[in-house]
Amino acid sequence: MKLEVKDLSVFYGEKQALENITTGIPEHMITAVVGPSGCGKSTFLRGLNGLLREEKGVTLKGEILLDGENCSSLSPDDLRHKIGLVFQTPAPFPFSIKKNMIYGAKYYGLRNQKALDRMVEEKLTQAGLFDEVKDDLNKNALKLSGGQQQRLCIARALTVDPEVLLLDEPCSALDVKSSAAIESLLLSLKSSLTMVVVTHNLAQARRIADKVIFLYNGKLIEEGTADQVFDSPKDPITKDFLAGVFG
Amino acid sequence: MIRSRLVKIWAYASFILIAAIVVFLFAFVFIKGAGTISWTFLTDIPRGAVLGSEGGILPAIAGSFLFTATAAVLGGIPAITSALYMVFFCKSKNMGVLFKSLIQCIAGIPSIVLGLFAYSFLVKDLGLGRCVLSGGTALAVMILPFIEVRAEKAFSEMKEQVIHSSYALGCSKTYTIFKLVLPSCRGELVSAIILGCCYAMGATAPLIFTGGVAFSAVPDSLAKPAMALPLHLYLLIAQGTTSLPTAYGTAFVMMAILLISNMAATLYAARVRKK
Repeated sequence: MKLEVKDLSVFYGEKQALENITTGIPEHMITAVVGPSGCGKSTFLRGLNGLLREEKGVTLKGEILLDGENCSSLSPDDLRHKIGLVFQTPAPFPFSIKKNMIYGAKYYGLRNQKALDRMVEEKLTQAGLFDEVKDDLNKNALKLSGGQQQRLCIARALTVDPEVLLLDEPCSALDVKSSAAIESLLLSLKSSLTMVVVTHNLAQARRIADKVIFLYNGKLIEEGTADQVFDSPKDPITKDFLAGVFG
Repeated sequence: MIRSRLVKIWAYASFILIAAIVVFLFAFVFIKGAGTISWTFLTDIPRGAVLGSEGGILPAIAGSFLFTATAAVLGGIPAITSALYMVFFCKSKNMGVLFKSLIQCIAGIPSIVLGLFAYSFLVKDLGLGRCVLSGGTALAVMILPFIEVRAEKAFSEMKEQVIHSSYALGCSKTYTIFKLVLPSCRGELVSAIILGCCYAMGATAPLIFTGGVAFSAVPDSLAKPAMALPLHLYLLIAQGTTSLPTAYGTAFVMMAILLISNMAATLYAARVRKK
């Protein structure tokens, strides 16, 4: 397992958002986290890369191991370097496309202009965006379409070479065509990256996920391969959720 | 129905009243002062038996810019860093409330009291004497809350996801602040500093005891006293009708500088937003 989560509990003040989650994230696979709204999917994701610690009044308990090493022994910056996160709503920096792309690399000391240019081209190509923007790299990223912005954010996350990429409902703000582009992008990245995708779109989870984790009311109800969870769920709550009794 | 129409009429009437006051005020000063404005008036030193009734206001213009620049540096930097602290570092709610109260407290201090404080502490106790630095410091304290509130608003209005995207790349908070937050908010920050400067440039009371004088040459150091436009205007009016035309001329120049600065601040902020 690339990531192992042991008894992860999260509290917002007094309120418990996640209860003793224990699971594993397999390497070079896409793990989909599904569940109804407010079940703790996004909290789980933000817990994995320590971003929750930046929020006021949040307490985390339990252990998260990355390649067997306890994440709490890493500094928050190192942890986020290794475990990247892409948000639900595209969040490009209000700079040019190129500046967005070199932002992280510069932080890690890459200064050589040629190397930066090569990296920009490589990562944008990986994200399937280079051909669309290659003549306009100095254009403000906020002027791109929603789908392009989200692919830029994924490309930007790739610039720091993370080992794991977390994606919080990356297609929820996008149209069908842009969603399809993101899905094929994620599938193409699988060989080099471990990914965890939170999604409320069960069809999407079925299309792209190797493993599925079903959360309900902050608890892990069921997990398994996509076929296991979608075709023969064991828990009655999972069955009801997949049947659309609640969502 | 009638009530909402009355509210609408009231709103329109208020707008027209405010617009009329602004237009009348500017027109009044510009018409009265326009006759005095000349190249000599802008580039000469004050002259005449009643000082300032003839000659120009160059030392006052230069002094005002120097006082204001000193205030912008001494007030702007702590104002922006305080705002950064409030938005990015202050985790304790009580500390935040206390800090906000302190800022409000500074904003509520009458400017003449600031002048008195600067006189007794900087001029007398620290022995700086009456100079641009003492006056500029008093003005800096005056504009600090003005800039802090605007900077804090600009920082807190930045989308949380954009800031978290930087953290999610593993970038430190310091890097995020210098490379993302400050460049993203530069329009609002520059605009806040320019507006703060306008506020400082119009203030007379903090300068009376601290660094503003009735006559001096164009200052060449922060350790020397200087003339300032609002103080010069006050003295010209106090001298009676002999110097009234140059008083209107001085007011004309002040209003023009404030108007241009305000417009520059608005245009700059709009341009940065558009980019």
